[in-house]
Amino acid sequence: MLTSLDKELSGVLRPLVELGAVIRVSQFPNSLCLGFHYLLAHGDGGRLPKEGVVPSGRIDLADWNFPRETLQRDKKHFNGIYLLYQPKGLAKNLCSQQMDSQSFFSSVPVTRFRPRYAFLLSTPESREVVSRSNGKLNKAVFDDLIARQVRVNFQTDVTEQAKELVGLLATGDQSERIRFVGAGWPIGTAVDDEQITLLYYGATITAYMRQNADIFLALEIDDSLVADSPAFETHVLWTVPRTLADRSGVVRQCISQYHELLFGASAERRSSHLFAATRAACNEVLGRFNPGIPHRVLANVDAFRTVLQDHHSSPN
Amino acid sequence: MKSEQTTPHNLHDVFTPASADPSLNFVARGGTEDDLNHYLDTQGRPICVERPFRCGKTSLVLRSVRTRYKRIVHVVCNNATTFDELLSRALDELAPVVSLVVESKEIKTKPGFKGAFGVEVDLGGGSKETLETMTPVLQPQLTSASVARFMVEADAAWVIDDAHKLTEPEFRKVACAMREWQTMTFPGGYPKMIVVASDIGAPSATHRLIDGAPDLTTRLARLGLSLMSDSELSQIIKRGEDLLNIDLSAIHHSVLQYSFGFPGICHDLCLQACRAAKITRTADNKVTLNSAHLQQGLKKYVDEYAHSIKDSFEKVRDALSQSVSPAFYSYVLGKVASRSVGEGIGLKVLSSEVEANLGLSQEVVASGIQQFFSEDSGVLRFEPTTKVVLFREPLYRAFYIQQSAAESDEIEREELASAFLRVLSNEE
Repeated sequence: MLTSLDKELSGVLRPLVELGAVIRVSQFPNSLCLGFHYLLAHGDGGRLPKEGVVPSGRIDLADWNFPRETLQRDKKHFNGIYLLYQPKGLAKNLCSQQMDSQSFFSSVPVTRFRPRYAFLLSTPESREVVSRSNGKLNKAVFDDLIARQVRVNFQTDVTEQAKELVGLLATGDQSERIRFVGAGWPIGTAVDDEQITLLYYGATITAYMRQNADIFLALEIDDSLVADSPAFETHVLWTVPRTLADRSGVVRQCISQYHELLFGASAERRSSHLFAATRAACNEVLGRFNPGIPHRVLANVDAFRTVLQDHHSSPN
Repeated sequence: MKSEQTTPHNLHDVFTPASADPSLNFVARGGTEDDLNHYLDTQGRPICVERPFRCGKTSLVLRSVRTRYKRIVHVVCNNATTFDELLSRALDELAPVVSLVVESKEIKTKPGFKGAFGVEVDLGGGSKETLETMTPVLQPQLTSASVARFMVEADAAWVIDDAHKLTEPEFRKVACAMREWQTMTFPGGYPKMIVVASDIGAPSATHRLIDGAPDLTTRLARLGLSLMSDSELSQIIKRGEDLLNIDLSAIHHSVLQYSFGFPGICHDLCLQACRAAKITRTADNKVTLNSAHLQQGLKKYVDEYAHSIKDSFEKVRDALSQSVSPAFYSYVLGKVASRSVGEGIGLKVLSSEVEANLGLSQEVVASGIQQFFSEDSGVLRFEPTTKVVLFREPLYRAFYIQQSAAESDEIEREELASAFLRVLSNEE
């Protein structure tokens, strides 16, 4: 079932195995792909490694919204090579804050996240909001809601990006009537005359809500709105001990090449079948580690490839 | 490295799908086992153990009886078995311990010849030797009372297996004998009869026994053995790993999934996967099995070992091919299989979904669905009270899902997913 793409992607990561790099991935499809192919890179010829071959703690999940906690937890790995996904702004800050005489931090942009949609639970009130805004999430939506004294709850699993979006769409005064209420999936907040809940999520739940248009009304987010925002530029951040500083270039090359290949393949519809194994592995993890997320939302290889294609563009 | 155990074992002694007596790899059945032991120790309580086919009833009974009696008279019934045959087969098994005379005669034997009462006689190629044969002193009267006495004298218990296959008149005779034994005592103790039966339609074996001998109502010990939980099935897999020095972790989850709680199927799938990996006995160095081995094993199981069920599915498919496309067969079975074992799907819902999705008329759909219900070889059944369509038996649902998996890459997908999950949850 493993495909030529799996072999190619895991082959690219092989030098990281030789360096004993520790990788932290987030709960999103593109990030899980790296974890899965890094697992395969530990096997012979890109095959699944035997039980016990991958050292304990080498590949793990890290909460995208709590990078500092993750770094604190993983400090013990800083004496080796350690990689983590983060948005550009945070990656740069963390690099400068964490850099010390023992460790060297760096990062490389790997993708620009395209949020594409926010959603409202379908109710008579929310249908009116969508209708007045022509199905777009823009400044006019916030003007309209705030003028009608409606409080906006922002429910999200990508906090940094949600805050950035609000910063781009709402004025300072308006921001006071907007509050962030965490991931909170599945949603339970009512929509009425006094409050409305905007659902703004990463690719997996966005795909689920798109598939259930009778329950969730989509508000489109124009790419140009977030085109220059550092919060939407995803980096892989890594640390190497000073003694291994010359290996940083190897890490950069592996990570850049991996993402170019991954997103290059996802851009081609005819490549969908190449994602069979990746989808099987990542979808199971998405379901298991996010029990609130409807299981197997990315029901087939094309849905999986499409999620990568729709939500990612070149960071450059 | 070899596992902790030092004695090498044969594969077929470790994974024993067809054996009623898996001595090496037996998993205790908790409360039911305790209850069974209690009733075996209690005078005047005949026992009926029932529940689904292949859920481990016989293994459990034989194991418990063996710990309490010197001998087990284990008789397996079929549709043609009569009560008189049950008595004579019991007597046959007890005969060597009943008073005997011995007479000698000269015979010609071949190597490995088996003499009367299964006594192995290996006297070398075709030599002229003397064989002792044994004949009972008196021809015993074939009554249930005399068999009861012989059982007590031999310190034996009588296990009547697959009793659900007996015809009604013969089943009633078993019930009457059970009632008769229930009050009997002899100087050496009291006779014990255990009826083992599978749940195949109503009425249950317990009800049939009570119908046949109403006095059993308050005396019959009724034990229902459930299918195994995942943790019980896991013990079979883990013990097999230890005994054979193999690693089944990559397919562990899939074996559980395709065993559907049946220990017999779990043994079978492990056995077939090991055969696919060319394992015949305890390995010197640990051997790791993967999804390809299970895929091959599952295919073998589906093709060869579940052939009677497979025949039923093929008959339905052939019958349907006269009137509808192959998609009809897959769609209907897929819909029913997507529901849990006892849940099923409403006939109306099923029919309207088939009509809408395959673009067929109500009449064509109704007549097509009827083909699944054939009394002799149907694979589905219609429950008139709830108006729900279910698989004929849980094993049929299991088979359909196993067959679908054997023909797809589902097992490999699961192996990849579970390996990734394991790595991500691998705590330091």
